[in-house]
Amino acid sequence: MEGVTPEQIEEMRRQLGLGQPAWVQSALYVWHAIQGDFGHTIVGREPVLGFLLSRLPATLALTASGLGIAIAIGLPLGFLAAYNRGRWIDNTLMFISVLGISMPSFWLGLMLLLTVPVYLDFIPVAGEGPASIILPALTLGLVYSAVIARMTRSAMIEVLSEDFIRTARAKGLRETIVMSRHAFKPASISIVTVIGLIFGSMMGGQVIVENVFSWNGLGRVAVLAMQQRDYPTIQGFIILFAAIIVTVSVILDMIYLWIDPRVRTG
Amino acid sequence: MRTDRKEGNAVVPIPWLATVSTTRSVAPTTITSCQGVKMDQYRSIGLNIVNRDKQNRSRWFASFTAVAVLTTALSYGSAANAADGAIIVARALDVGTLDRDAGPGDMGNMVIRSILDPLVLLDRDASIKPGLAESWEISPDRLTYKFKIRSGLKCHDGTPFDAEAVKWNFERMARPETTGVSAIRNLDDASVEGDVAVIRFKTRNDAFIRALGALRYGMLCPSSDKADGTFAPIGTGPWKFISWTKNDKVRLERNDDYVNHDPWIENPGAPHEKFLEFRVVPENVARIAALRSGEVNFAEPSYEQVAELRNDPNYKIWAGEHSGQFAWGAFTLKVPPLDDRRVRQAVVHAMDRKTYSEIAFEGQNSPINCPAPPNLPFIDQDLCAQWGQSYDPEKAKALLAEAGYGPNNPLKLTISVHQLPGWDLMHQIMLQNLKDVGIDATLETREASAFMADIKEQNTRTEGIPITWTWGSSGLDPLSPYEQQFVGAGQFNGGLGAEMDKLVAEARSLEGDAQGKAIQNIMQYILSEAFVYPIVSPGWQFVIATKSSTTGFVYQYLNMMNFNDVKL
Repeated sequence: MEGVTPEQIEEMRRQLGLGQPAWVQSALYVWHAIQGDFGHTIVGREPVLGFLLSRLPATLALTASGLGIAIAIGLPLGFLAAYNRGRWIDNTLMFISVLGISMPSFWLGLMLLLTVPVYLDFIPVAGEGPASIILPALTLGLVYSAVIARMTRSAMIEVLSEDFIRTARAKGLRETIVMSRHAFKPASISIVTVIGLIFGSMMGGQVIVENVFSWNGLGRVAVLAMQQRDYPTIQGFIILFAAIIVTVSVILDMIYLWIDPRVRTG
Repeated sequence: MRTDRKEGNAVVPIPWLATVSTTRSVAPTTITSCQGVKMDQYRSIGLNIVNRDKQNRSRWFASFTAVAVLTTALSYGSAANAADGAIIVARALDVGTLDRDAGPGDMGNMVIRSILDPLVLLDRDASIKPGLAESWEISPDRLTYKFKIRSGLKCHDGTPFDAEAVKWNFERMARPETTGVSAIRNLDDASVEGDVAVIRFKTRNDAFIRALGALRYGMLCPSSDKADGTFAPIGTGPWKFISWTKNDKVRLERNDDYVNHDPWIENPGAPHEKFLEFRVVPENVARIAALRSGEVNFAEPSYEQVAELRNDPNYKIWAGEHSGQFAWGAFTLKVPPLDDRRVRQAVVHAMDRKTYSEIAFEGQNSPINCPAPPNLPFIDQDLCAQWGQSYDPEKAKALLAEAGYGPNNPLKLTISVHQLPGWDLMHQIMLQNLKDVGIDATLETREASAFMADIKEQNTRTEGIPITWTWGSSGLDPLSPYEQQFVGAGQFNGGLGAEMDKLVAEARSLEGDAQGKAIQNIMQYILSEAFVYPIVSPGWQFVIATKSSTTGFVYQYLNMMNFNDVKL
């Protein structure tokens, strides 16, 4: 190492604790991590946690937008397919949803990049300003809306065959009321479960989408850290990701309680 | 329109479809379902009946308004870039650091030199012109350099830039933690004599003055190092640093007080445009999509995209002509049979460098014959062609047969390389070239840092599978790449031995034509022995695409991007 003295190398080894046994290094890492200290990035020497947290809002915004689009598209289409079960509209929607599920998000992203600037050049494509969230959010949302549509359809079909739905219809309720107030709530338990799973999956898929669309979130950080072998950043990223997924799971459990009081007593 | 459907044995109404079918012709308050149930009956069971026509109109109006507002906002947002006079450059990678002395690499240096002006400048013919220094003297022993600094120079923050600032720069560059500024190695000290900065070296440093005009040696202002230990680049250059959002963008603003001394630039004062932004867009498709939509003004294309844009009259491809870059290959010389000159020559004869340039780099660069930065004095491609090995598969086979290799006893050879756009395809073609002459070749591709560590180790081996490896060098001094790679141990333990050390030392001791002749002797030695083979020039980050309407861009030496003359 040109220009670096042996004393400097020794000092760096001491600072990084490289002279200690591996288990001591691991235990120290965990102890420091519990206190919010994930070390410093190798490139830039910044505190890892602060660096990652500075990118977290961008990632959460993209995930929330993508999830919003997925729900906004998936739920109505799922309703429509369930309501028209066995008809051409159901078959068409389910065929489209199979295409959606099969479509890799990076491929959809690239297709959007190739077409949108040609026809809709007012939509930003390269990560600048709030409007630049549109394409990455669409990429994430369109793919996962197919999953939500399929899940909504099957959950609604199951509920629509229940006796209480027949009762509601028998007393002359409008079908929109039957669907929205009587059928949707019991069906939403499984839909919410899927949305929770999608959230985790979407956070993972975002790593690629963020890089395709130059969205400056955690996904960009993760890929770059891997390329630069920035181990502290990668470790911090994995722990932060896991914490987010666990938090979302807990929130989902609480939503279950709200949706279905039987879970509380059961 | 269908308004009911069968559900088991019951016929159930589909009111929302009924509503849609009737709103145009029937007064809302008298809507009935298709079973003839009056609205009053719905009300009687507690349903909230509303005026559907009015509600739908409101919803359509709200939707239309939202779309209109969104479209207007987006249009405004995209127009804002052009309106504020910002040159936006989309590149694949971010700068690693904006500190000149912390090893910023080419990506960082290209940004840093927009902020920092150098002491001297290089003209198109590589002659040295005044920069921040209005004149200079070099002692006969080439150990002492004196630079007379222009008076009245101001840094971007208003602090003066003078000889003391130059002294501070060299002292900063000489710190042990500094990397990437090899031209000041063996610095003895820096001092000030009035408005003259004096730089002394312990040993002769001929490459110094020319290197100062190159990409890496812009002058910082001392106020760049803040009292709290932080750093922000402050210089005297045409662009002022505003902000750096890591992995996103570096934003610079025009220095309105700038006075140009660069002979490449026509504009005598500040740049034409107000802002300069280097934006990170990792995906090739996204960069060109952003260029097409007008979101960015400059975009690094992949070589495949170069072919597409080249045929489109709406776009222009700018390729660096003075990069000083050259791609070359070498061998693990201690591993038999690569210690046999005939085998090395056979391998080089098998390589079709013209195809590498035309296919892998889409014809944007050229095959070279000399293992040296092209376009410099004494680098004569015709002479080098006489000394080296041209593409000749039959000659390659004959030399291999002479060395004892043939179809029944093929030479096993590994091509060890690192990933780089253009180079990846070039190595694939290289692999096929070697197979075509009967060499049992394999290709090993690594990430750059892993490659460097591996090849350093491989070059010390004396047995095992022989390896040929590729690398790139750049510079404005033809001897520097040899000193870096082939003299002594060399950067990758690829030193060529005592004869090479002697030839380079002799060349360094000479000047003018005599030095030129000595440099040619070195190249003749290297090429005739096939120790090193030249491949193409330039090799990396040397093309950028713009709309055809963009003018004034200049690629200077070492692919330094200059935007002072750019008009969008």
